[in-house]
Amino acid sequence: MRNISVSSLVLLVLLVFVPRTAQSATKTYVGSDVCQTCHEDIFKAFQKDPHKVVDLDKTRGRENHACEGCHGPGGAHIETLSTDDIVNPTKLSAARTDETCLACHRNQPTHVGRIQSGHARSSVACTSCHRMHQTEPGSLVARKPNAVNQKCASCHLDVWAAFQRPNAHRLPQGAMSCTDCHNPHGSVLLKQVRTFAANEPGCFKCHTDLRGPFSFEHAPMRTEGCQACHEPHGSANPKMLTRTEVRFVCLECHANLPQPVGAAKVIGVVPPSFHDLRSPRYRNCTICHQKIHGSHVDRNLLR
Amino acid sequence: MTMKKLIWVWLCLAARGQEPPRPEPAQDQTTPKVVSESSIAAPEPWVTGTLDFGYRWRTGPAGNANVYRSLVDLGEGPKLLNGDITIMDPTHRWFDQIDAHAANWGDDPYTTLSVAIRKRRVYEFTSTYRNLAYFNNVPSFANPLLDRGVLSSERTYDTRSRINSFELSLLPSSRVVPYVAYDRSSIYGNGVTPFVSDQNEYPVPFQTNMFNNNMRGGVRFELSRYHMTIEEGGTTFHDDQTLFQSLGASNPGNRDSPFLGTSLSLNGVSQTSAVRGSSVYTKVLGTAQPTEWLALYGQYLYTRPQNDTNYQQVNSGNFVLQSQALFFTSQQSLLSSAAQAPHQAGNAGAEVRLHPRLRLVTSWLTDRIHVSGDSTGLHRLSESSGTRLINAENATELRNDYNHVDGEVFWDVTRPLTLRGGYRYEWGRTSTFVLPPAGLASQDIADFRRNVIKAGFSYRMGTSISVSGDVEGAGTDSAYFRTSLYRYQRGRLQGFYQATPQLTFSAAFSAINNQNPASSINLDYFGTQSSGTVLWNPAGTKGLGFQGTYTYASTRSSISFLVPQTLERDQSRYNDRAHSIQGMLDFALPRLGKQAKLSAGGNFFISSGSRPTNYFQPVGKLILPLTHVVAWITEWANYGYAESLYSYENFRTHLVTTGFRLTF
Repeated sequence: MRNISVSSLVLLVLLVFVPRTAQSATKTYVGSDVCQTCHEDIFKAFQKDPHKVVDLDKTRGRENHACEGCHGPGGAHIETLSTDDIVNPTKLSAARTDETCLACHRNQPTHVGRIQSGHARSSVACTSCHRMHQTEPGSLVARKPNAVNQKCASCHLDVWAAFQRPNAHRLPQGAMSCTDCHNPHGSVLLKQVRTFAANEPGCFKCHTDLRGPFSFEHAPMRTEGCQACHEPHGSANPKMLTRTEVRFVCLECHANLPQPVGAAKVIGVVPPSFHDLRSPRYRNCTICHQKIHGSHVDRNLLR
Repeated sequence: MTMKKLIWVWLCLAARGQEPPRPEPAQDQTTPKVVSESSIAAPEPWVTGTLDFGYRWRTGPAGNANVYRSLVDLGEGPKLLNGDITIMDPTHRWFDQIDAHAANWGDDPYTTLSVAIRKRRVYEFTSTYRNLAYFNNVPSFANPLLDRGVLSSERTYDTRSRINSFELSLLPSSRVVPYVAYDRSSIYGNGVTPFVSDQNEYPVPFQTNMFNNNMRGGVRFELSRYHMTIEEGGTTFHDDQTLFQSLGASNPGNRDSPFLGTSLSLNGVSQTSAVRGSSVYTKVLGTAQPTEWLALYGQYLYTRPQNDTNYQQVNSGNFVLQSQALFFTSQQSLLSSAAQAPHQAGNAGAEVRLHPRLRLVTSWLTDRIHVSGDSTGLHRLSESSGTRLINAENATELRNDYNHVDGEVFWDVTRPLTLRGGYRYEWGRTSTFVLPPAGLASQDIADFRRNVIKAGFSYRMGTSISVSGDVEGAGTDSAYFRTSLYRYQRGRLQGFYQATPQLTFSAAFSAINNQNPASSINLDYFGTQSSGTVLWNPAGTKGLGFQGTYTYASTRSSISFLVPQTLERDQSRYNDRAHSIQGMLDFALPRLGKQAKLSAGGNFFISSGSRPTNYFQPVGKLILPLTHVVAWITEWANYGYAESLYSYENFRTHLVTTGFRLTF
């Protein structure tokens, strides 16, 4: 019985790996100049493409093989002229397309974590955002904020709609782009939020005064992040708050109610709010607790 | 009239000056020099691009000008609206290409400039500059005097933020890439903020001047199957804030109603705080693909920011320290503090191709921060009977650990269809304390555990159809906050269909449901977003084009709290139902020129619920080419803002911008 299991395992391994090895042995590279014979326009345009550098790359053994770097060996294709005999990354599964691109691009620091990113999980291939062989500026890598935003908004329709709310970051005006805050290739932080100074939320790149560390921290800043109180994409509420009035943002945690019975403890219940909410002063908590993001000198976040 | 003629003459000269350079004279062709292959094949102008510039007029704004400035803040005057310049050097001597992009220059609230210079296989340089105005004075926010008809917030800002980034990558080889970068952000300006004394607050002017420098450098090692990046960086931080009211001035925050028989007032205050900070950080990133079926990655990130603060305050008037039943007439405070926050994060993961159609993606992450601080200070309170000294010393700590392990299996059922399913376990602990204890706000600690099940699919048929969706559900018996995700389910469905090359449809739907049924919490949260978009561009420049998106978003939230003054339980309820429409209709005007175009559309936002708001931004644009390099551009935009519960914040204004586009 044990021999049968071992045999099955060996057979499985052979089935998985041998065909791939056998296939690759039959394919040969022909060089970019041969591709030019039929694909003249693409070849011409490619001379200005950043990927042209692959044609000059001796160290990886791809010299004069830039086309085949992505499209695979072209030996069979030039014999049959069949599209079935050449790789077209846009027609592969997303994972296969990514594999082609990441063979070279895996280490640009921004790409670490790509495997784990939301885009990779949702089968959004590299070529969904980075269009090859197109001559329009920004088709390979969008750099202008409006161009970046347009690309992201074509899928994230609801997020883009949030930026049309009255209180929002200035993306529609072109002052910022989605990639100022998010790393579309993946991040160590949730929601692919870009990092600042190695591992802190990218929000602090602009809102540096809120980075701290503070002698008196407001815990949600460190545990839940800015979105504990703010809608980062946009809101009808002032200061992009999650609630219409400040008091409800605060009271929903500082609720004056006891710890839940039969469940684990939550924080933020202390300090409770003893203030008389009939007074307009106390309905605007951040008038007094103005250092709500953290204070250097006051335990009650008053100054 | 003379001025107009001068402008026309100048424009014509400018247009002629921007014509593509003519071919080099014959004698140049005999000059022995190295010319690249591309320059022989396609003699192109060195400089290409567009420049949009003009003048903007504005009406009003009618209604609340402060809210207009808080939300829009576009003003009148001459503007450089947009500029794109590309410089290509056919000799490739110092650079191959320079790309520059500028937008909204001329005292607009958001000015940007980006420059990228590259020389293939030698270097890449990128830089960005942003100058953002931040004005904020919303009467419904931080305004205790609203009931008395005062339409001015006690927390207002009129500041500018400048953000610069520079990065230079050297490309001496394809295997080793050293790089250096420098970022600087600064905020400066003034505003109004409350000076807070026990039982009262007084709005006073303040000034702020803050900047942060971030320098970093690293090396990327790129081998065929193994890659590593090592980066070291550091920041310096400087934050000065000053708050001042001259002696004898009357403050609008002085209390009319006596507190325990004494009128509380501020006669003068001077408060300064100076924060100086620095940090060092390290990044180590690595990826490896030792075999075709295995990809690995990992990173370790460490930073250690620290801040030192000096704070001084002198104020006079009538004040009270309620905890000690003490009335006093002046106060002097000298405080200093220090805080540091070592912060480590690391993750590692692997993608294992178990089979050509089956992949396992797994990862582990840990994120640990430990903030510790101390503060010492002396408060000298002067009263009629003498002087009282109060020493204050505090030690504080905040720790937060977050970890997760995640595993997900992807199955490519067919080439277009991929199914996936997985599990994630998250856990952590957070704790805070302040010593010595005071009241109930001294120590807090909580643990957190969550089991998450997830599944999804994606279907992609070529480039014309794609549909993807995923669901995620979690159950837990612990969370950090009352409002945190507890027992939640969320899902997303997204589709794209290209009916013809000219007509595409997209749609997206997402929803989240979060419940915490604990008796003292009773959290019930439900939110949805539904969007649909159409892109129709039937005949390029010869006809109509349309792009339109409609989004409906709703949020419903309810959670228990205790009303402090009545000690009765109540629910904090929040509802928001928002409709957003963004659209643009383009009419090509071929009789008036190849690029002639009339566009109309805009953004329209209507919400109901807790804060009903209408925010309309219709816009119309006209582009008429005058010559092959000059076009006349005109834009009309309207901003209309209306809130039914806060009607004193409404405003409306028209903006007309006209100018020229130079294409060269």
